[in-house]
Amino acid sequence: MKRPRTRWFVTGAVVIVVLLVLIPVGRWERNRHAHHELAGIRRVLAEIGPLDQPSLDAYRVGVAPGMDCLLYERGTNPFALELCFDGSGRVIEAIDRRGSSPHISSIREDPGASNIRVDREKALALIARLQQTAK
Amino acid sequence: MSESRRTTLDRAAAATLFLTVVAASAGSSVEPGVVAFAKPGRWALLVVLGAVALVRALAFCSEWRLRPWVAATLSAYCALTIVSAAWSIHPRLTLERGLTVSLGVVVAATLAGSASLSPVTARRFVDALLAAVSAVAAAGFILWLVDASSAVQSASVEYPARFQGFEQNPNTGSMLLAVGMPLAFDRVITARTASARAGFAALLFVFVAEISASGSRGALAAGFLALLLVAVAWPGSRSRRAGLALAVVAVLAVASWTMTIPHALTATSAAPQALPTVSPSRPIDAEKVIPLAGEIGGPWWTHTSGTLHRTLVSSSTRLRAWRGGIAQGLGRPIAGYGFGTGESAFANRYYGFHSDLPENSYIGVFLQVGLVGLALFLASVAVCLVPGLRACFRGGGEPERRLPATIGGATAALLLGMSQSYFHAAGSIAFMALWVTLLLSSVAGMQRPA
Repeated sequence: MKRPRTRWFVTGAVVIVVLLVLIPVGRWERNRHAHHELAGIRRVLAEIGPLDQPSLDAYRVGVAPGMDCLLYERGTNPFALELCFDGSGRVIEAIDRRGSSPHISSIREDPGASNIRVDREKALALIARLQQTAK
Repeated sequence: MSESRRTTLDRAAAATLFLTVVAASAGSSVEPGVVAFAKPGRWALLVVLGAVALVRALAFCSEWRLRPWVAATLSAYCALTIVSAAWSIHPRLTLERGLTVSLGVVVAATLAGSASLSPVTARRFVDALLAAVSAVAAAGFILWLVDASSAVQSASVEYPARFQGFEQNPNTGSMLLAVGMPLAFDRVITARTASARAGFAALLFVFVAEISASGSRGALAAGFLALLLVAVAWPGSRSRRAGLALAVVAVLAVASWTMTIPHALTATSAAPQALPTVSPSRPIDAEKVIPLAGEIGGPWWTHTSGTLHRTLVSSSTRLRAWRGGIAQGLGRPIAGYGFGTGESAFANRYYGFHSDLPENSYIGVFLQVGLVGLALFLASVAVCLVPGLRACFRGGGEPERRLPATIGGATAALLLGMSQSYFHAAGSIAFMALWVTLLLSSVAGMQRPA
């Protein structure tokens, strides 16, 4: 009679331990993923160079809640490099379209994990200038 | 006295289950007034159902049974959905969804445990589900008669006109109808009178007709595969089962053909889209040329017109989204992004794909609670289904006659998970049907103690 009860007690304990172990594992994964995506964003940012430059030729406004983007031309591709930032100026997505498919680095689902920032006022002024020119 | 009390409590539980499923469907109704009332109402009804199920269980607690492995795996899965708030991208949302899903599973388990030694009770619960599906089908049909423009989604260049009935989306109501198909089919087979058989056959016809008119391919496939399972699992002679299976395949062929009759609108311009010319003096609103929500597979990359030709078996759009969902999941493969965060974790970048979710519940579970969560979910499903399947194919006689319907319903609900994301949402139209049928299958073959 005791054996099955002990077995279930042990099973329950194992489940609880596994769940507890998952907490640091989940958090570690979260940090690792953010680190990986941010590294990709930094690469694109480095490829772009200064935000205000002649190759800046496209924009997006409010594509996701509070998210705006600046796009830069490379060669004949007008959308080669893209940088998206949220309402706080955190860079949350970068796309490299110079290959045969887009290479996307994104932390859009967890913007608080981004420690890369742009001067949002300056970026919005650039978008406003592009919109003005586009008219 | 005891028997009449049992009957009263069973009927109360069955009636509340009926109302809960109907309220869940009303919560996603096309009628805003109904939604405003039903959205909070479905949670209240779930709590009431839990209370009634608990009273039923306590009143006959000596008869309440649940297999230990079922209880263990489900407890572990539910605990994981809640604990995942600790690493979630939206902890509060995870906590809310984890708690509501756990509540739904516990309520279904409480109901199923009461039916473990009482086939009559199980039959009442299955009939309550069938009645709820019938009510939703009837509501859709009546709405179509009264206001066809609300009940039918207009044709577009991508889709033909699609029947959506009482729901906001053609795929929503079809989910519940697909689960109802095996329940109705089982009633057709087991009916004792010709009039009852004709009535249930008519009901099954309505379910199939509404699914066909909705153009919901996933629901059609799920419903008919479940019918095949019912036909094969039915405790009749081999030749009769083969005949039933053939009839199911024949009706599937007709229903599939019917689905291909309506056509999408013709695209006015099919000219390939040229790469936009670069002009320093003319900056571009990129969203007009290469929208983020439809970039992958879109015309800018494929250098095509972007016209989508959807056929009965075309799946490239959805496959792209699934691949994207899996790739996103691999970013956090062990524990995922947190239960219930599918809409945030999955970014729709796929041309022709119109959803904030990957529209595959298994990919959704992987995305939200990682491989650990997916393994626990699949283990929970397996320990629930195996006793039912075993009892079904072993042949349990009269007491187990309800099993083909139960397993068919669970199978349809699980197959729907291949084309819809709903395992994470307790308020979803098919959520309670999934867990009630699964857990009723899990208590199959349980014996009274000697």
